Amino acid sequence: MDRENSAKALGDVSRRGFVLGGAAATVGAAMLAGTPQAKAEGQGEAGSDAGHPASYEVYNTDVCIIGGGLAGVAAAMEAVDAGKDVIVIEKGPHGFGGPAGYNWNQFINFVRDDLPWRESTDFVLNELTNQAIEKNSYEHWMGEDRNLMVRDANMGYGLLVRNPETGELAPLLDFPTIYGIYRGFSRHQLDALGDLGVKILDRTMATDIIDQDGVCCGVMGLHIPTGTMRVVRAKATICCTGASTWMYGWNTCGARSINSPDNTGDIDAAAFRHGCALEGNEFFQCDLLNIEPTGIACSFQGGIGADSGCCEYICDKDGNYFFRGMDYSTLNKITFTQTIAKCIAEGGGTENGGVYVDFSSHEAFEAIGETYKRNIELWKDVFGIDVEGTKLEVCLEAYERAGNPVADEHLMVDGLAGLFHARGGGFSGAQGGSSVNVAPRNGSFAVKCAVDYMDGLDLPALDEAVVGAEYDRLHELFERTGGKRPQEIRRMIQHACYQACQPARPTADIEAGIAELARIRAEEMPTMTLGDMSRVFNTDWKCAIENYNLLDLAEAAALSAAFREETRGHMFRPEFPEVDDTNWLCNVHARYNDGHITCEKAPVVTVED
Amino acid sequence: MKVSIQKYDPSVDERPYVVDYEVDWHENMTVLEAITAINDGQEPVVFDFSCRGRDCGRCAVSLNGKPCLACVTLVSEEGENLVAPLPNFPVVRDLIVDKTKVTDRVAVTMRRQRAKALTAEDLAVPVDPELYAKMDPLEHCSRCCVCTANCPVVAEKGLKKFAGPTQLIAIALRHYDPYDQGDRVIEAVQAGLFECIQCGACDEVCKALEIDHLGTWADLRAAAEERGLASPDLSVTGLYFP
Repeated sequence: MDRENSAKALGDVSRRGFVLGGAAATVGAAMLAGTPQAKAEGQGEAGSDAGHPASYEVYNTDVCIIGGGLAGVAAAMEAVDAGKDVIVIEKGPHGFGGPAGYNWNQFINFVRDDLPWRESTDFVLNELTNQAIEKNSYEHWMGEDRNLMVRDANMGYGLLVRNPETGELAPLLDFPTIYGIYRGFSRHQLDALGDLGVKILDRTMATDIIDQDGVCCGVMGLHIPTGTMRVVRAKATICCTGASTWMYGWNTCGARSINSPDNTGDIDAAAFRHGCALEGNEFFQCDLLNIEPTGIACSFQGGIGADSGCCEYICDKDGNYFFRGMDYSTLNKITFTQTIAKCIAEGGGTENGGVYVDFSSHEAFEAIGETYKRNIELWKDVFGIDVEGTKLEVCLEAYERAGNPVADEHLMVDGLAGLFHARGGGFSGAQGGSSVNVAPRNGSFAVKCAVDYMDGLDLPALDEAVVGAEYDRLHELFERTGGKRPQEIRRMIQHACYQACQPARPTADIEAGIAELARIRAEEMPTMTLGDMSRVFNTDWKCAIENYNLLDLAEAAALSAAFREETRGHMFRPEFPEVDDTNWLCNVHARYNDGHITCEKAPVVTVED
Repeated sequence: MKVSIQKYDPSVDERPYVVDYEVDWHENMTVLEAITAINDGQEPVVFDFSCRGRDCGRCAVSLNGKPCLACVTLVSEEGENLVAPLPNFPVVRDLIVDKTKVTDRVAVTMRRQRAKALTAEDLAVPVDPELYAKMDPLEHCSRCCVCTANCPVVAEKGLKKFAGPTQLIAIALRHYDPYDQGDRVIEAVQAGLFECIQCGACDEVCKALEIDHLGTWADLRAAAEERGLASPDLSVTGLYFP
């Protein structure tokens, strides 16, 4: 292409004064020479002078999967098995993105029996669960397909846990209906992705879906190392980004969550802004983890915490062991967190809003969970801290959250045909359990439904105006002056959201959080100013883009928390201390209405067997 | 506390440069906390992190020249704190390096080589406890590449001669793996196994405390020697740079 045309296509470079980053950017408006000819059916016209002066790469595929984690890999496998072309978009470096990219020692568990879905312990069925989705997803993998251990082994997982003397498998759970074993290092799955012939666009954040008349035609995003916009045209898009909990407070270098900074709920927020409802925003799921050392606070990988197995040794700030004497038959993950939240709400919490695990008893020390045990030596090695014999201050961090777009029984998002949604949590109401085992089958099920959906589907031509609008939205951030940097605003969002959605939720705190989030939106966001003007790995730019998503999700969460006037799930509302099934046996949907987020009740989706 | 950070933007800077910052210190403060405090409150510093617990490997940097994981490395209240990008890898921006020349290769190595799929019955067969004891710790390798960055052979001769300890750990894992049917001894020799001088610099900086680097290298070397493969000429060097 000649120089004059390339300058026109790239916009007014001299005024902006920026230097293009490393990778070659495919210009979206190439000029064609020669005589115009009659067009073939389906043919479009490249290089129109009326085209937007944006510069972006265009990719084309059958299935675009956002997020290369547990659900994403299973989705990719299903798509490859169905003979489809696949592109995976991953915000982090491939193999290292999100929690699946932590080299973490996961618990692999699955049911061994083809129990009726309602009786299955493969997931935590509760009163708000979307039963149609759970039934369909559960029945998608029957029999041996459900054996995650074999599935994972063939993806390269190691020997799992073995008896050190005999070399026999040493599961934690070995019952006729359920099996569970540690040493599920999920990075093996991410390695396996490379064998499947999928194209992986990593270090690429998805910033918006391509919405053409209510049909999702793919995804738009940003390659972070080069600042290049990337457009992926796809017949079906599967959002597999997992639970977004990064809005939940802030310690010194992490949110009050074990999760990865990668997950800022970008496509959940995009769907939300395109008019889709989000469900269950108020339901965070929590674990108890250390507050100090602050550098590894709330880190599942490096931290030490306690779960319900340690409840006899958990005490409040005054040394009251408030679990003792409880009817333990009622103890589950939800009641465990609720009990702690109630204790904190009633004044038993530390300054950090935490409690203590008392490891002075040898039994308590021995009950430390599998993953945390490994960190006892780490704490000695790095910090010179020996937790044995001490009282460890711990707080409730959020490891999982609902807040997913509402979807039908085929996991297709209501309001955006062609966008599917698959993760471990979500659709599960006041879920009180781990979702690692649900993610892969939801990913696989979503693609099965997507393959059906795309049969005979013709996508409309890529609408340049849609791409141009997103290009402008992203690049306009460079024009702003006089305001705070995105990182400073990010902390405000995180503190306000935590205030509203912390496990102990006094109404005054919820309302203060809501007011602060509204203030941030009105006063801080419009002038949010980047401190970094480069196009090369600009984390100010990334932070700013993500802030819009976190703010949307934080507001949806805080407003939903206010709206639900009862106690349910991993939280306690002092003004509404009981579960109120008469008025609140329902989900709460948040939706954008005329530029404002509103909440409404929505019936639980049930299934007649 | 003084913290100095090496910055570099290849789109505008001629070369890297160091900026000094004053940061409030607290007990048990980590490098990651210091970098975050500067980026949050002073001016942009580009860095990566994820798990805050030495398992994702993304926060790898160097402190006073020593490769380390920022999330589990303490800053010094009184002394020097020079934070620079991880050595021996190309710098993308500030503290971001591109590790794919190692991690892409490790990902390929980690894929098991097998003629047929494993079944539940296969998994139920007891494995050799000695193999398990050697293989299990290697699962904890985060592929942070801090060991490779600290390796004097990689520093002196380059990755073209010796693929480095991160790569060798991956090869060793599959070598021990009874379910893997590939020839990992050849792969280890090709990766430069005999370029390694067994100095233990890898073990010194590794935060997967379970991993016995020197014991693992000794096993691989013994396996190679047993097959008459102990020749540096057969390293990756020998194939591409005779």
